[in-house]
Amino acid sequence: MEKGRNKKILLGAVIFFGAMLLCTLLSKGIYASGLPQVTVKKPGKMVISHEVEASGNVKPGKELAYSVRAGLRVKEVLISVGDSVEEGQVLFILDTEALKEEIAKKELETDKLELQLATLQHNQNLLDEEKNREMQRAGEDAIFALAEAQSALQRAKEDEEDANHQLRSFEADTPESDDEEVWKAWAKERKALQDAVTDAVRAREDAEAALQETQLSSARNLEDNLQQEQTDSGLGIAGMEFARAKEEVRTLSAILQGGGEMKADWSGIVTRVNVMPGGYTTEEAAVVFADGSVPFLFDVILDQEQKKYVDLGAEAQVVLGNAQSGRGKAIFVEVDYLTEIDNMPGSWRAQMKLPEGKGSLGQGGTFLLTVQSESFDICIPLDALYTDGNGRNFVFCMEETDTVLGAELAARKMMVEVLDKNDKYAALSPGTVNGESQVIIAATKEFADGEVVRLKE
Amino acid sequence: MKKKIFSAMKLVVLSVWAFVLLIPAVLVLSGSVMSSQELSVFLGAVLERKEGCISWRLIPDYPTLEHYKKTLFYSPQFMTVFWNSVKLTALIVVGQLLVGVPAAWAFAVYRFRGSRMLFSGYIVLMLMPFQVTMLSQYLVLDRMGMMDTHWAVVLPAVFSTFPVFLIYRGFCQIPASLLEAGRVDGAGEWYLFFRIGLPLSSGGILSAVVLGLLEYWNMLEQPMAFLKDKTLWPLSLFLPEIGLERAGFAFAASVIMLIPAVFVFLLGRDYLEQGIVASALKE
Repeated sequence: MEKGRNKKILLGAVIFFGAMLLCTLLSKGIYASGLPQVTVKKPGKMVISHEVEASGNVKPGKELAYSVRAGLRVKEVLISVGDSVEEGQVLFILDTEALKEEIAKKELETDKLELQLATLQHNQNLLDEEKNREMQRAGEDAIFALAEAQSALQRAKEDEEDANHQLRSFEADTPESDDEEVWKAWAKERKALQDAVTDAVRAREDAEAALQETQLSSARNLEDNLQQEQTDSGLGIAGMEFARAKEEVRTLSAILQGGGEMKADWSGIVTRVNVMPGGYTTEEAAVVFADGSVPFLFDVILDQEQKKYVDLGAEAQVVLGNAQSGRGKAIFVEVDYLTEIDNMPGSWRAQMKLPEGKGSLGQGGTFLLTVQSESFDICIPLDALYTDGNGRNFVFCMEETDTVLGAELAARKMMVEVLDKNDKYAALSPGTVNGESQVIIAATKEFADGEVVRLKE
Repeated sequence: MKKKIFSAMKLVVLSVWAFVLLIPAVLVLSGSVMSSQELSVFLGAVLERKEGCISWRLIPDYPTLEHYKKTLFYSPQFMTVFWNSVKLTALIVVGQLLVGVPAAWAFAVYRFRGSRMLFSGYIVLMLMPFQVTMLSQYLVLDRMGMMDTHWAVVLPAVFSTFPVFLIYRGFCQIPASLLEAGRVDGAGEWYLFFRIGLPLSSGGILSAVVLGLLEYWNMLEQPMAFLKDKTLWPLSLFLPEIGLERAGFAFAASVIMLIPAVFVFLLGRDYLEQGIVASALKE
């Protein structure tokens, strides 16, 4: 009985250890297959190149506007956008009936202006005559006043001379008597003569002042007359309006004579047509041409990140065409124009002159620019770089760790400082990661810091 | 009537007492089949440092074998330490038999100069706890280059004095006249040892085996002191390493760890009692 019981217990123990052995094998297999398989790479020394790639299209290098007088009715438009036009080619035809009406209206206007001009001319002549008369009178008045003032001055000068002469003669003839009464009478007489001289001097000064005032007032009168004549320009304006109206009539007549056909003044490619049959010409250019003699521009819009690597004069490549139409060979160009777009903050427009004969208007293409940075010692693939919620960068490095299962490989989180990066690689500051670090660049499944991993076979 | 009442009261008291003693095992068993959500609720005070005390439910609301599945099929670490425990325990017990049985036979059968003093020395060594001899063991093992190997745990245990003492008690019960008669009949010493000594004192030997298996299956201090390499750790050292956040796994691992000990107990219950009695007897 006891032996039977012990046998059962022993059998149970054997089964238990057998099951544990089986579980050991299974758990090892499951564990190994469940580990994230990682691919590692040592950081390398390299130059980080920044590649800017943007789509754009070909635009005209120079545009020319073909304008006609506004308000003319268009009968027929013979060109459309994209057409290549030769000099002298008919672009559109104006309605001749409407043109005749316009010419008649203009001629009537011209006649009116002519009459108006004649009236103004006549009035102007009358005004001129009156003005001349006024000026003549003013001149005569000035001359008379000046002569009178000069004559008064002359008289004052003569009176002064006489008074001086009388005083000097009197003073030369002194009395010989010692009688005091005689001397008193002589002194009194001399005082009277001195007063007369003083009065004469004052009269001469007054005459001089009067002469100056007369000169000034005469000059002002003449000046005022001349001023009035300068401000009157109504006649000139009327003349100009008349000349312009006549010119318009002549121009419209010439168009009418040509059957209303409007012909191109230059060769080029039509980029915009602002007229339509039955419509009226406007103040805007009727037709806009791309000047065929000037090379085309390749136009791209760059975002702020791309703009960091693009400068004015930078050498770039343009590949015309697209995946559907077929890509052409790379064309080497320079960035000729670079400016921020007013209504799109953070977006920049870059334009490059294409070599002569390259590209066609509106053709799509790709702008490529590569900027090489300095050489960095620790560079890793960008896929290996992670950013946490606080914007800090980190990588996972594979390191050996001692576990119950022995030396295993584990992923260790390393905070890093990124010096530079492009869309493929990132350059790191030396520190936690060095040239010998095994940086995990890919994994078959997600893993966390400290988690055991194994190398991908 | 009085006897019946007394027996009933004794049964009740003992049952209650037995239940109290069994509580840890019951908790481990119920915890091992409890879902993680329930464990986080009941052990929240410890796991998530919430206020209050932990609570428990003997029968889980959502029993699951998920923790056993994880332990047995998704944790090779557990298997490694389990087999480390098996290996260490087996080597130690076999080593103790190889060393202890002949030593005990010599002490029990042969009288030579200083034999009693030597045996007294054995007794004194047996009374010393591991902490006392740990440093000297460490120095010796280090000098021998055995640190951080399983031999650092196995060899000191192989030469343990306790099994010698237990087996010695078994050999002492063989009458000296029986051995003398054997010698007279021409039996050699090896013959007496294998044909008379071992069969007659198998109880003592098995007692030493059962006690050794239970002791070394659960040993903690020796591997903690001499094994730094985690790959060499036994289960007893691995279990405390399991974080509280994996409480279910820890419970399941504890139950599995308990099973070999239960087998040993069931097989050697009688010998265990004999061994405990023998170790309590005075020389």
